[in-house]
Amino acid sequence: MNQFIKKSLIFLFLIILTTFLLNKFQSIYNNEQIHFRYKYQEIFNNKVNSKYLFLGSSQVVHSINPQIINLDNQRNSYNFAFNGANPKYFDDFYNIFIKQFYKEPDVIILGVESFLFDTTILQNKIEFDSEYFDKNLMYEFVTSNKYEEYNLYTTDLIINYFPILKYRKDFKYSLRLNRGNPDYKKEKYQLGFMPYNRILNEYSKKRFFSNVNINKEQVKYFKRFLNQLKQENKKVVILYCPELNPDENHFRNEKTVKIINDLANNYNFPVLNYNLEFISEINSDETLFSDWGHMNEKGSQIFSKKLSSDLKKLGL
Amino acid sequence: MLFNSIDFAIFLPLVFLLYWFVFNKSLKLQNILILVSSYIFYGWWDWRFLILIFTSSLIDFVIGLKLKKEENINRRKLYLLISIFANLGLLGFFKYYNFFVDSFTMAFSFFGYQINDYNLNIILPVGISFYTFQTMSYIFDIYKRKLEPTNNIINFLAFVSFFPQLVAGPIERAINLLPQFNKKREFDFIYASDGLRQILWGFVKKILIAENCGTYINPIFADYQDHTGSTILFASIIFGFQIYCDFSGYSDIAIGTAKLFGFDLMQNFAYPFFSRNISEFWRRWHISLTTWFRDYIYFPLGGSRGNKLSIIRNTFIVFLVSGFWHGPAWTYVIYGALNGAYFLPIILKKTKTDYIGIIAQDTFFPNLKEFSLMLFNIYAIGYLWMMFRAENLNHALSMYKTVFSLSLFYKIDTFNPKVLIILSFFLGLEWIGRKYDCPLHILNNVNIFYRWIIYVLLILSVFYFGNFNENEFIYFQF
Repeated sequence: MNQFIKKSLIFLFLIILTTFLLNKFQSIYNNEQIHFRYKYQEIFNNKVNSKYLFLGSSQVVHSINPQIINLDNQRNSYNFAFNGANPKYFDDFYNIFIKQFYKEPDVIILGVESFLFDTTILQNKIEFDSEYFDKNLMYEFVTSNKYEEYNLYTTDLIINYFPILKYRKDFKYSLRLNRGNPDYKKEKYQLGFMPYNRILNEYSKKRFFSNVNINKEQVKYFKRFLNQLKQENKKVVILYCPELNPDENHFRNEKTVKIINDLANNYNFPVLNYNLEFISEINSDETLFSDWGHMNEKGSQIFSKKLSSDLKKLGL
Repeated sequence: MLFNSIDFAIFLPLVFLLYWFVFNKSLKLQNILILVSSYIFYGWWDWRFLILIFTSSLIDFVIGLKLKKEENINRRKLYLLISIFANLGLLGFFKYYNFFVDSFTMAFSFFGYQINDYNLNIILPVGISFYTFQTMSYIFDIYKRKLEPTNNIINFLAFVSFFPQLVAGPIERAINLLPQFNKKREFDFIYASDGLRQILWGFVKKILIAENCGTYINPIFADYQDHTGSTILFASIIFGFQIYCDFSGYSDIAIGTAKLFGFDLMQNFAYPFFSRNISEFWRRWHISLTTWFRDYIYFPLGGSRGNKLSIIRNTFIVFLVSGFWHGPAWTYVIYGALNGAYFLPIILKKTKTDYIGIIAQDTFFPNLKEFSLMLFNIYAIGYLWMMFRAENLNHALSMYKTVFSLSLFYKIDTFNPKVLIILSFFLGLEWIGRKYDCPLHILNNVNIFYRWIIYVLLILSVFYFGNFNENEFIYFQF
C-alpha cells in the first residue's frame, strides 16, 4: 500500500510538473493577442496614465493610433479597445479596471459598429482576459463577492487564467514556436494600437455576415454605460470607424445604428460616422484596408490624422 | 455523479483513503463505507432515487430470505412472482409508462377513437435498468438454488448499490459479487495498478474517442436530409464506435475503480469489433447483459435445444426483449428484431461456425478471410446502428430510404480526418492488446520509465484532443 501511494504521488508530481512546463510553454508560444497583455499591463502599471481614452472593438484597435492622435493638441490618449468587445465588455472593463486601477478619464471616444449588439459577432467577455489579470485581483474574483454585480463566470475566469487550459485547442499553434499571433507584430504596438496588415482578397472585401442580431441584454448594457458616462460628466464621442465601401442604406436603416444614434442624441454625445456623414475617399481606397472592416497600418495613419483633426473641431 | 467530473475526482480518492486507512480494520466498516459512499454517489443525481433503490433492494432482500426458508413449490413460485412483479413494475412504471400510454393512444386513434392523454412527467432514475436486473438475477439464482441468500442487509444493499457499477453496469451476478463483500479484502499493489490503468483507458475511450466521434456524427444525424446515403451509413458505423467507446469506457472505469477497492467485476466487452460474425459480436458486446438474457430468458425457453423454429423463436424473443430493455421506443424494439434477423443465416446454416477464441490468436495479423469477415461484420452492423441512433421511427425510415438509394454509392460528403486518425490509433492499440481484458495491461512487463511516458502521453492526448463537455455516458439513458 505504501509503495502504491508513493508511486501514485510521484506520478501525480510528474503530471503536475508536465502541466506546469506546458503552461509556461503555451504562455510564451500560444496564439495570443499580444496587445491585450500590454493594455492590461498599462492598466495595472499606469505608465502612460492617460485621461483621453479610446474604447471599442477590433475596428478601433487597428484603425486608431494614439501616437498620431497625440501629435495634435498634445493629447495623452490611449487605445483601450479590445477585439470582439461588446457593450457588456465596455461596461465591465470601465468599471472593474479603469475606475479601480487607472486614472479617471476626461474624454472617452467610444467606437461602435452597425452590429454592436450582435453577440455572435462580438463575442468577447472580460472573463476571457483573466490570463492578464493581477494575481490579487484574480483571487478576489474567485473568493470574494466584491464583483458579484458583474455576473462573471468563475469557471471561465479560472480556465482562462491558465494558458494550458485557455489555449488547449490551439496547441498546434504553440508548436510553431511563434511568439504570439502572426498577424500582430509586438514591436509595432503603440499606446494600445496594434496594426493589422493582411492582403485584401475577393472574400475579405465583403462582410462575412448578412443578418445582424440584436441581443437585448447588450442594448441594456450600452444604455447603462452611456448613462453612467453622462452622470460622470465625461466628454463622449460616438465613433463609427471607416469600413471599405460601406453600404449607405445599411448605415441609415440598420436597427442597431438607430438605437445607437438615438441614445447618442438623447445624451447629447456627438456622433462621428465615417461610413455615412463623414464618408470620404478613405472608404473606397482598397490600399488602406486589410479586410472589409479593418484598416491596415497605412490606413490607420491616414485615418488617425483625419480623426485627430475632426476631434479638434469638436474641442477635444 | 459522473465519472468524468470534478466531483468524482474528489470523491474517489477520499473514499479510497478512508477505505484503506481508516476503515480497513473491520470488514463490516469497510462494507458500510461502500454502502454510504454508493448512496452518496447515487443520490448526487437526485436524492429521491435513493428511496427507489432502497425499496427495490429491501423487497428482494426479504424475498431472498423467504425463499430460503420456503419448501412449498407454489409458495416459492409466488415469492418469485412477487419479486418479478415488484422489480418489473417499478422498472415498467418509471421507464415505460409514457411509452405504453402513447402506444395505446396511437392504437386507439388508428381505429378512430380519441382517448385522453394520461402522460405523466416521470423522471427516469439513472441506472434503474441495471440494478433491477442485478437484483432479479439474485432472486432467480436463489429460486434455482444456485445461491444461498444473504442475511446481512448491509452487504446486500452494498452489493446492489456498489457505486462503480451501479448506473451502467456491468450487471453483476450475486454469485460473483456478493461473496466478495463477505471476504476480507487485502490491498494488492498489482491489482490496484491494473485498476488505475484500466481507469485511464476508460477515459481515453470516453473523452478522446467517443466524444470526438459524437462531435462528427451528431450534425450528420441532425440534418440527415442534407447528406448522401454513403455519409449516413458511414456515420452510422462511426456511431457504433462511439457507443462502444462510451459504454466500454464506462465499464473500464467501473472495473478499474472496483479493483482499487479489491473487487473483481466481470469483463463487459471483449473487443466486439474484432468479431467475425454477429454471433461472436454478441458474445463480446455488453457481456453482462447478453449473458443475463441467455441464462434467464433464452435457456429457460429451451435455448438451442429443439428444432430450428424454436431456436429462431427463442432468439427473436431475446433480441426483442433486449431491444426493449434499451428504452421505451419502437426503434429499439425494431433494432432488436433486426439483430434477430441477422442470426437467421447462422441458425439455418447446416454446419455451425463458432468463433470462440480471439481472432488471429497465434499470429499478429489476421489472415485475409478473418480480415474480410471482420470488415463485413462492422459494415453489416452499421445498418443496425442507424435504427438504434434514430430519434424516432420516421427518422429511421427516412434514413434507411436515403441509404438504400443510389446515393449509397456517392462520395461521403462530410469527412473528418481527425476522427479517422484517432479511431485508427485506438483500434491499433486495441488490436495489439486484444489478448488482455484491457489493452494497457501489455505494459505490465515494460520498464517503468517507458510505461510512465506512455501514461503521460495518453493523458496529454486526452487533454489536448479530447472533448470535455461533461456529457453523460450514452448508456445512462437506458
